[in-house]
Amino acid sequence: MVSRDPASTRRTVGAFDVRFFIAIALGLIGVFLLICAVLADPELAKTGGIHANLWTGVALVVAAIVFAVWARLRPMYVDTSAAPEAPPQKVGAPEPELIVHDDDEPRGRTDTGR
Amino acid sequence: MDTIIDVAWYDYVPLVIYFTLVLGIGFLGRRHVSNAIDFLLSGRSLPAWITGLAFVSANLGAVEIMGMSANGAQLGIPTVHYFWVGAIPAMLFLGLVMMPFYYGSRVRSVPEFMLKRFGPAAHLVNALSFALAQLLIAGVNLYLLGTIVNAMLGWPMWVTLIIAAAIVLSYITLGGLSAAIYNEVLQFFVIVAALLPLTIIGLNRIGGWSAFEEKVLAGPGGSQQWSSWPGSDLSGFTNPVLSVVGIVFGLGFVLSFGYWTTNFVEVQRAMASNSIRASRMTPIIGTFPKMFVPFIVIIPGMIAAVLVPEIVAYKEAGGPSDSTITWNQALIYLMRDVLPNGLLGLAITGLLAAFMAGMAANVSAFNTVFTYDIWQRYVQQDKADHYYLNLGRIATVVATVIAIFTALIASGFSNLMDYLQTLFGFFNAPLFATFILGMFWKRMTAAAGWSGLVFGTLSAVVVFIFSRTGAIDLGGQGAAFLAASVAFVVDIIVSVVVTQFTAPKPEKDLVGFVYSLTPKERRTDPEASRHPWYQRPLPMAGVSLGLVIVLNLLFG
Repeated sequence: MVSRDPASTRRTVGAFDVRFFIAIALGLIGVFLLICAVLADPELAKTGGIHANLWTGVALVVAAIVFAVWARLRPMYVDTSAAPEAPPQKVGAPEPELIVHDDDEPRGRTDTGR
Repeated sequence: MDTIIDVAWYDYVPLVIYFTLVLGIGFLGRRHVSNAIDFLLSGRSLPAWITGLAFVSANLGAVEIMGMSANGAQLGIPTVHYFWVGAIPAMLFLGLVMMPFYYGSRVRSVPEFMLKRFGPAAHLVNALSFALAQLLIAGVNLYLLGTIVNAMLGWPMWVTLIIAAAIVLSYITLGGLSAAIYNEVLQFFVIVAALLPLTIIGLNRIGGWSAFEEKVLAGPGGSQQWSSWPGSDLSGFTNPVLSVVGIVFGLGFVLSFGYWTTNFVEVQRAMASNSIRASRMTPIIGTFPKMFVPFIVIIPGMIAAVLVPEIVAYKEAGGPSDSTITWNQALIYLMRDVLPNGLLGLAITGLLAAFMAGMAANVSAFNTVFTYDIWQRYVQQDKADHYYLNLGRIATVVATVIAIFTALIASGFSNLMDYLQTLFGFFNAPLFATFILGMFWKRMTAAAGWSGLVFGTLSAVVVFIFSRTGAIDLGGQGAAFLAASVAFVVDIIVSVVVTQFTAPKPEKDLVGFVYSLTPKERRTDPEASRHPWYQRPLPMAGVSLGLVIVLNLLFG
């Protein structure tokens, strides 16, 4: 049974969550496109009338916010008490306990059947 | 220097943002949270959605993006077979059937599975051919990258090669193998952000989907290019029944199962997940983005073939080889014609990100297999950890330098590299035969393991040479399908025959490697039933298969 005591065995991966990197990348590029949309020629003849830099910029900023909020609401945890590797090659050895906790794990049922 | 695209100074901004972040992931991973990150990534601990995206992304390199958009421009809709027939079923099979063995047996690499199931001879054959193939493919990736940068930014080939190689080298050695998966997930979103606007704006320029359909139907390829079946131009079989059989068996079964289920670059991603359930979910989750990749890769290629004057003329002339234009440039011409500066920078960033990540995946897979499967096993066995770490770094540098030279050679003999690459596709077909037999037939012997591989591969080479010299006359991908199929069948025959005359391994050594000898707990996740249906492999594989069938019907 994995202990679920947050103080001793679990900590969040903090800023090292891939969703923050995605948010930063898409957000910065989105802002860059919005600046282009204001300052540069929209070249509507090329795009067939769509203000391409503007709309792509908006979409990227929205996507960045979604990723940042998701990472905030459902942080990833590392269980620092678990051994990273279970002893190898034991016949019928049970799978190691889940190490990272994320929204992939069923909620509120961690105590059943173990 | 003449370039296809006119780049404004600010088009470099997204490039700088992206590569700063990628290198930043490397630094952060190294300096601040090095324990956590090593733990997180190499300790089999990532959630399935991350490994699933990395799984798709590792394959989304230069060959995939330029190659498939080029096929789209040349052949049209039938190119979707490379995805819906040639990838999805194999990915589902990997997740449902094969992943439990890879994950449950706790091997570090695919060649190591070979070692434990069949012993050193098969292991050595597999490790050497894989390492060599990765080096050459890294070179091809680098060469394609060089030609693209040259066409976009006008830098000379050798400057491009060295700069690109330096960047790839720094992000492998800096972030270590551990940051690779994060970079791939990031890269996936940047590619989508680059190619999706290109597709939408391209369609808008033509006048919408129905105008696009009209133009393709009126084009040189006619209605063949608007429906995926029977795909005669793709398979090279003029008989429609043969063509369907060729695509389903040659591409869909032998070639694609061989590639997706035994390629270490791919399987490694699934091995990094946090449970047997997550490892099985990895390729299954991967199928969902994978089935929609054609819409942002093939469709832009097809748009270029009806919208860009140069490509339209090139297609009308039947793709002459003496032209300065090649199919590979379809995407770049489309970028020139429809993207305003700013968005153009993002598109360039997406392409470069994909090419470098593809090459990085090849180089890091090479260095893992070279260090642990070849050097540690056969040359220097009992050294301290840091010895192998340093060796891995040296191998990375050497591999990158070799890739530069391979790329330079390829720039002189681009056809040769095409052939070499097809040839390495053939290595996978016998490999798949050996794996699948070995996993389900406990009698199969070690000698059968290596001899099947050797003779299977040789038979593919023979068929390939016959088709090049004209003894077998098949256009399109027909020769590749045939060679792979022959390799598959020869491998199985040789394995079965050799097994009759040699002694099998003792059963206790095969636990975890052969289906009938592996206890159910090792193969399944006892917790799986507690998860809702959308987090379980079988139901999700069913949804994925259903979606692919619907897509096939829509574009059939």
